[in-house]
Amino acid sequence: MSELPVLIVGPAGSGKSAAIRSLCGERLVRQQLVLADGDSGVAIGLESGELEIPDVGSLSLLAYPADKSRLLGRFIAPEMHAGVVLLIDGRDEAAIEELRHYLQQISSAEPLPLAIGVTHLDLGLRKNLDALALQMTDFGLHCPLFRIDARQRRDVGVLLEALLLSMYVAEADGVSVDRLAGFTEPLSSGFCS
Amino acid sequence: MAALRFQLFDGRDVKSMRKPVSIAYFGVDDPVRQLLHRLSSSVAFSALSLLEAAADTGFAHEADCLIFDITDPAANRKWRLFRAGKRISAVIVIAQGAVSLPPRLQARAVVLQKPLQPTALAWGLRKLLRIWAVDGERPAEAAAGGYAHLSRLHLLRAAEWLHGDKEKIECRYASMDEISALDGKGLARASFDPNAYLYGYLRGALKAHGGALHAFAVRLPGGFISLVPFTGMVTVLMEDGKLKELCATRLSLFESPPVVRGTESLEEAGEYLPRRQTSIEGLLWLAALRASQGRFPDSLDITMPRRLLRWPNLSRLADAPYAARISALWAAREMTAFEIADELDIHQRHVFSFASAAQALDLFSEGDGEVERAVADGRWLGRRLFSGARVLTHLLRTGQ
Repeated sequence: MSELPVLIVGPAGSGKSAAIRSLCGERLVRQQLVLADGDSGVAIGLESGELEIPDVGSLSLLAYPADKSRLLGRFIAPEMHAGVVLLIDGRDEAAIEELRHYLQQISSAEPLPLAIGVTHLDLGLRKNLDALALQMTDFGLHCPLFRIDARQRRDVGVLLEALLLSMYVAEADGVSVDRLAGFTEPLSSGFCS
Repeated sequence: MAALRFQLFDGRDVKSMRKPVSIAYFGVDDPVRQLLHRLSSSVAFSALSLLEAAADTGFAHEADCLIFDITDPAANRKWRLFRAGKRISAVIVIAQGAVSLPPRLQARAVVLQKPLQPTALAWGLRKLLRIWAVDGERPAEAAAGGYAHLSRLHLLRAAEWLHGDKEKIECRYASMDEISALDGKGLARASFDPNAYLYGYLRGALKAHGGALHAFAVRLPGGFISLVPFTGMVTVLMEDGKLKELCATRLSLFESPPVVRGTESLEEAGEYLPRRQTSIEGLLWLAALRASQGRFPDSLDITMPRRLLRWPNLSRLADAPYAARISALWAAREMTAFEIADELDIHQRHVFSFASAAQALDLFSEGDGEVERAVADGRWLGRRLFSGARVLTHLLRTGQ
């Protein structure tokens, strides 16, 4: 069986845990991973869930904590994560700043397929979506941007489906395969050493 | 101190047998010890076989991974003794509550909280040892340490499985023949005039009245569609089935729908009708999809390579067959509809339907490398890129 790890990132309250629960069920596994930060190590608490896809493999969803977002760029690695889902809380007045912050962090790492879900937007706050979308263009991104309810399995499924299909197209272009091949020491520079 | 030695073994090819993976542990309690032993027979590690368990500190120094329980009263002393020996590169620390890491932890580390669960321990081991594939299917290029990503076929299957519903619309369009991009008569047969359908009429009504400040409604057989300009939302007052039927019917079959200003008469007339709110985007997408029935609008040159300016918001739009697959390809490259159908090995009618709906939302580039040139020049396509809630604005500006 193959395994596909997908990292879910976003600010607090954006629906990361809810998204994992809606796909993988209520039981999340909590663990910590230690990442180097100067001379000391920083414990990164992760929540994860696994989704078995019959005859295919398993999709491993890992929620990265919002309070460690400044370390995200060093945490993301192509051989550890196949893709990134970024969730942004559309109600938040600082949603645009949050999006910029996360895109900066993500773009500082090796490029990975990305899908963006804007949550809590079903209250009619429509203009935010366009404003958020325009921020993507500053980063030259052409990725899926969907309005989702993280509690709805279909919504999260559609977003992940789009992410997987972006990987499919990227691999057809020979981009991902080459990129994945070259990295043998993924996090060694990031971990305590 | 004890050590377990696992071996990663591909039963089909002895040559591909890997160096045994050994895991040493100290200070762990019985439940953790039992867990380690159970791992060798678990599903996740079925390809790892337990070779040996021995109490030998020297043996542990050769281990690929060390597990120790920091809550053990003697943990610090054991740790000092241990790190005086050979360096170890991967450590799993078992903790409870706040974590106080051992001093000078010169290793990759994962901290797992008590009570330890099998999945957490398996996860930690896989993270540290980078054992992502355990069945020998790891692609050659990832053998040095990457995870075994799903193959392209698996990605498609996984996407299909996540989507859930089968391709429901297949049966509705199944009578359409495949045509060649060079077959003029075939192209003419497969095109339709959007203005002959509700989709075209709605765009016209939005163009004519969308600039008003007050709400207006379109009276249709069986109900109304009400719109408040600049909110981007419409209220549909009719049976869901009736709306779908109307979208697929030529307008000449009923009288030209009059536009009603204000909402008072509408409220009264619509009391007995079911109502639901949707976005203009969602309504135009549905209307275009239904009008298309596997054809493409005659205003769209289907033989010209194009690219999607953005992904349609698929989580809030009506299901279209293969919409996610078509979006992924068309958002990544400039292609013709025929090339999309070939690449995905799907019927052209699905691509034509998608193209109709995408054009209704103004999602296509003008072709000829428009998107690529904009990216290369460091400029972007501004308002055209994200029509989303701006469909109305676009209609008012261009009238198309």
